[in-house]
Amino acid sequence: MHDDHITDGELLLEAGGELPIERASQVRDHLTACPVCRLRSTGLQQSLADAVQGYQRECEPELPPMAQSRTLLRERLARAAEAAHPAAWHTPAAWAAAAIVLIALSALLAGWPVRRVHSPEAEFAPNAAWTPGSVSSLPLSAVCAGPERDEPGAVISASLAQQVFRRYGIRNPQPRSYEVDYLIPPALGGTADPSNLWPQPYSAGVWNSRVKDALEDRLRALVCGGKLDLATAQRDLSSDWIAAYKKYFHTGAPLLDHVAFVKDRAWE
Amino acid sequence: MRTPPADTYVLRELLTDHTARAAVASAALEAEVTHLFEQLRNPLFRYFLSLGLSIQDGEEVIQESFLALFRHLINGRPRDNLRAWIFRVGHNKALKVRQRQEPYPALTVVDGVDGSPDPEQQALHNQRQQRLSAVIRALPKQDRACLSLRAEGIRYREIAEILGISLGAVALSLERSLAKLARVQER
Repeated sequence: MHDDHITDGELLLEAGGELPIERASQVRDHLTACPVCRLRSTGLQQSLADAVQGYQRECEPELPPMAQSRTLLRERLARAAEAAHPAAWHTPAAWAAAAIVLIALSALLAGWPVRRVHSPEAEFAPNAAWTPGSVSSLPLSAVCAGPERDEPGAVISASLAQQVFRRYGIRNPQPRSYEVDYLIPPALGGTADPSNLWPQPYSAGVWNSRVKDALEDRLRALVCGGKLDLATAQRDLSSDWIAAYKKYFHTGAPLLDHVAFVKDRAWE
Repeated sequence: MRTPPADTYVLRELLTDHTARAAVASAALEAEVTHLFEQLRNPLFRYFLSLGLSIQDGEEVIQESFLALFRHLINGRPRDNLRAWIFRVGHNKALKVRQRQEPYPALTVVDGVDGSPDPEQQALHNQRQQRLSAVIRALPKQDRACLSLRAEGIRYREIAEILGISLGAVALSLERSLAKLARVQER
């Protein structure tokens, strides 16, 4: 019997990973035993996903272009800077120093993947032809009995990483810029095969490797908690991990905590 | 031994001048704020439109919010979680604008965005989207704000901070909104 069902609010907080640890554990135990609440939780998540989709469709097409806004902001910032430090802007030395810094920052930002935030999300997605994903035949029990996260021995070898870089046409990968990542991680039955690996930039826009790592942990918890079918999790990851992230975290953009999430080792 | 680039010497000399240091700091902050603007302008814009601001007002509130951020940073104020900071400041500015304008203007509903080849299915889809949009527009201000912020990827605890309410209130707000949306789906 489940006289005390979980409230919708708590189901939402649990799905978002924002309940205190002890309460989250109680809610998960209840969900395991209570089909009514499991069904409600699924329904709530679907409703939230629909609402997010409706919101995005409604507002996105109305936005005016970025360029004019940015130019206007730069002009206003220049005026605000002059107001903040009037004396500083009347010396040649200050102008020269500012110019050098701006040139340096421009060069830095030009190389920063964050500049690509407005590029299509597909730019950061694995190429389906080169990385379709591959999984082992291990049963669910064996997958969940394995380590939750990659063990030191599971680090991808340099030669395998180079194979992956070559496949993606990256000749001189910058150290610590990529994670040669599993499309389907071993913690969800993925194998260390080039067809399951791709070079994921650490800072390539908002859909970076840290965000995907957070999704992997979430899916593993759902699969091993009996809330999600292993094959579904594998399929969602291999077909479109960004869409999967939006689906499982009920959001159109990466959550703040996940942008700085660090799990796996960088490729060096 | 490698010789540092000529610019390094020039910059070092210039940095001995106090006014030059201030200019350098200011230029760096301008670049940082512009960088954040490129990341957050569209999410903020969508959020302000969802609160009922016009395009022009939304643009102005965004500009003012980033100017406020520049002043915040140039005065050496805390720089933790600047994304939540800018949403909170922008939210408060947007509310002030909204107080001068009632009721909410209608937002455009986009038809046929699912690419479905079946006209009948597409029509049903559009009808459902229009009903959903109408419900979202009719939500109380706080409920609408919670839903919009969540759709922009803000965590529940961040939403609580931005709106100045408790985490439980955020959960209750979403609970109410989703119940209304679910009723529309059932029709």
